[in-house]
Amino acid sequence: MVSMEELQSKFRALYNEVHRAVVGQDQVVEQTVAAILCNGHAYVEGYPGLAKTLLVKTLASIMDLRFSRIQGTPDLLPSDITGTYVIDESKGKKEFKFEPGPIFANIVLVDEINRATPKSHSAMLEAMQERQVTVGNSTYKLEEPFLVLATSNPIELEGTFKLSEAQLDRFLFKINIGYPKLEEELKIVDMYSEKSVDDIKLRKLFSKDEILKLQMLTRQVPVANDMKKYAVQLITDTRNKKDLIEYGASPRASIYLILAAKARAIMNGRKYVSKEDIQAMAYPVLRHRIILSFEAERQGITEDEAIKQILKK
Amino acid sequence: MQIVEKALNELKKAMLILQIGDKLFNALLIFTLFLLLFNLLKLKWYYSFVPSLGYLIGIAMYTYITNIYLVVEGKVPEMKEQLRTVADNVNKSNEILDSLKQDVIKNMRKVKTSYFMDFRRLGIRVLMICVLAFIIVLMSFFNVKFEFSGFDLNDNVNEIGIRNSGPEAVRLEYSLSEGNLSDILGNKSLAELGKKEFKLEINPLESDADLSIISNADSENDFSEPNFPKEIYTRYDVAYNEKIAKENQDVVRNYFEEIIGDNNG
Repeated sequence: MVSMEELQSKFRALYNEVHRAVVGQDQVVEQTVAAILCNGHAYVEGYPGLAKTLLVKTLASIMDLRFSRIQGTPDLLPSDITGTYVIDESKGKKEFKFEPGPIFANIVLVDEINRATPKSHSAMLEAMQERQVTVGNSTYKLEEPFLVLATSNPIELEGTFKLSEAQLDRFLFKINIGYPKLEEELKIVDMYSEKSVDDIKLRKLFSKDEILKLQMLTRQVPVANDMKKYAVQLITDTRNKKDLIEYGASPRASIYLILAAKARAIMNGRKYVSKEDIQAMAYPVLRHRIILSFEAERQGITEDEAIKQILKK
Repeated sequence: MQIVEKALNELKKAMLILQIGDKLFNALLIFTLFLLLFNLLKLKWYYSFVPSLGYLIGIAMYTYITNIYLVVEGKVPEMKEQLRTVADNVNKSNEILDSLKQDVIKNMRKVKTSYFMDFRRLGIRVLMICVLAFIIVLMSFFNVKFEFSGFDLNDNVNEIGIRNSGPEAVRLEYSLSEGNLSDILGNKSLAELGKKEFKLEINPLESDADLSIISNADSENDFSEPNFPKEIYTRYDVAYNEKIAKENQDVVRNYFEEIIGDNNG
């Protein structure tokens, strides 16, 4: 039998350990962990220097997961992501050997994904969706757990390739990473002016098997019918509120919203989904799945404000 | 059947009984209140069943659509959202859900019937019913009623069809009775006289009435509620020109016109 108290204390320890390296960004940490539990992918948007890479590396280290990084550039090729065949002469004769690319990891950070070409996007998104890559005539299964964290910079958009709405829909969450508070920034300055990131020795709190077990448990969290109805109603409202939203979220959003709420419940030591879970997870699940109306954009309403208005209804 | 399923059914049953009791009490209060009101307005006492039955139907529909577990969760915060979750997933089984079911069974011991009974509210309602009943008894004893001159609410209720007229009852529109049936009903102003006394003097020399035959006056019902046999009906009379030979029709018409002219002159 699962002990929720035990799980909760383990997650608390995880947060404490993450905060040894990353100061603040509680919501970002929570949403990234939730993405791992849901076995989904996250799209992180934020300015440079906000510890996006550090957060992912820290989580990978604490969870004992293999981490890799891909830098999005216009000359990035799909084979740079998936891997390619190389000539192997080690056995005395020439033969092709598959050299796996950086996608063969548990946590893959795709930095500035919008700088890569649509061809590379497509290779990446195929791997994200199918959890396997096909090179030549062979298909290679990716190791579980598999999480892609793609980042993008909201400024310097020249020479970038915006991800289409269909591609964005593949991401479970869109996580907005903001600037830290004054006290947090002071702490960051104190921490990293005295030592480097490598000096911080992090404990391994979860094993790969434990993460897989947690992913299974997340899906087992029961949901009351009225909670399901509430979540689906929220998604339906995004399609009906034409004054704010031009295009609403798809049924995939309903599935992800419930799943994300389950992950949040388990992270908070609960065996059931509450309304707060749905409300809290509505932001990362919906913000990249809605397209604001012209009127809303004219008024300077952001996606988060539109979601807030729908939640208030 | 699982233990949790049994426990949920028991809880639901107990809650239903409590709610039925509570709503019946409300219905009784509404009945007493309207009984008093209708007594004052001289309406039939059994009309008071209508609002209380209406309330019961409304509340039954509301109770049907209300999640009873939500009510329990409202009173027992330890079970907030858990009870509904278990009730909706009672037939499923997995590690987390089974653990939640255990928690719910444990917490169910905390649910007490007294949580759902507001004794203060109950006491106030009992007191109100007693006071209303006492007022009704007193009113009946002193025959307190609102009088509306020339206006009987019962008649109006009959007009809108609340009371079901019996098979023998004959409905007559007063507007019709004034025109065609005044010979039978008498003058309407006399019917409106009601129980008021009036003095009537008859000159025996100028009247055909036999004053030696004296009997009690007919009851007022003769005026208030016409009691005609059902067979009364009207039909168009046959025009005179249909029975008279064509060559004599002008002669007859002239004759009648002369008579009318004489009478008017």
